[in-house]
Amino acid sequence: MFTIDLLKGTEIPAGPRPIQIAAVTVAFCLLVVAIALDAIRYVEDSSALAAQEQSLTVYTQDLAQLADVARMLETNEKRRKEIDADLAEVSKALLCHTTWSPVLVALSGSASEAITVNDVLSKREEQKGKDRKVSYRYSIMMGVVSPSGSAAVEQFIRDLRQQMPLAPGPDSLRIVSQQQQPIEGRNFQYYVIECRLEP
Amino acid sequence: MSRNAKLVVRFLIVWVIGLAALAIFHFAVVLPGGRALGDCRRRVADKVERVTFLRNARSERRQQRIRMEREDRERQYREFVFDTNDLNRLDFLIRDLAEGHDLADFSGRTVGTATKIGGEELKRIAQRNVVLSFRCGFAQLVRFINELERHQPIIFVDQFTVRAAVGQEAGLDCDMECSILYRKAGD
Repeated sequence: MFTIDLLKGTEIPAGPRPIQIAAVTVAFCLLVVAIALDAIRYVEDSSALAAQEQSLTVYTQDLAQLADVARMLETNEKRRKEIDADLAEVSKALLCHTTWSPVLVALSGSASEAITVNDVLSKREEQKGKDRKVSYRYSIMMGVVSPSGSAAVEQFIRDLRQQMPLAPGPDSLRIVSQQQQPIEGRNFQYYVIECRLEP
Repeated sequence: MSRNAKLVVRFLIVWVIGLAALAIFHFAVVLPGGRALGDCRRRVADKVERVTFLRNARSERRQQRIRMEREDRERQYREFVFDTNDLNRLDFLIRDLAEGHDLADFSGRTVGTATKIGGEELKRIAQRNVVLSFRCGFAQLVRFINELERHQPIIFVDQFTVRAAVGQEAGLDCDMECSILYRKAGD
């Protein structure tokens, strides 16, 4: 057998193997696809950004046209906050006051012709809580005279118990003292009645 | 090194350079562009929301509602708090109310102001105290106190004393401590 060695002893170069060709092709394609995807994304983002910036300009102009409405709302909001802050303090201050009209209406509704309410004294007692907050307890003292005797006073107390806005508890309405008192030359029984009012 | 190996190495070098260029393009151009787009979309969405809100607020119905809300709040405020004008003429105001009820021997005077109410120092609201003294019947007294308490802004009756009038005078001698709330100046 003859061997013709034109390369004079050097090896015959081997041709590229199919696996190498496949690997190189896949790697190349992957790179190209990645570049293409990135480029597409870049182009899309750029055009979307341009459109959004255009919209931004339009809405900014709209906002400039609506500036007077924005100013009005801002002023309104500022005033609302001021009033709310004032009202928050007012509600604290209201805890230190009461209304006497219902008490006096109940008193005049309970008094009959058989008794005379001689004097009325409202009392406001301050109470300090553990948190140093002050609360008030209200009561009313009244001096009552009845020419027709104790039955009229008892009836007056029963009516008061029904009509007066009293604090809870059995002691909220009681006779504090009872004594003889001369009025216009005659002796009358003079009662001092205390009502503790609901807070 | 065989010719094949040299080709593969050359390809790998070119491929890595291409990949690096892609990475640089991606991180330096594409990603910041995407973020800028996201920011821009958010800004547009904010503006759209604001424009829609303001357009709605501009509508007649909404304006009326805003006006009514403000008037409600101001009315609520005026039920309790004296403004500077009312405060300056407080003595006249109370005297006018007293004259409306025919109270005899009426006198009234301001006795001081308080910023500490209920043990708490208030920043915006203060209290002015007024002492009243007069003579009247019991029904008149009830009506007068009712009017003070129904007055807007309210005049609080803190304490009162009612006694049968001394001497030949008819009616009841009344002493009363009242207070009003007003807004401190400069806040």
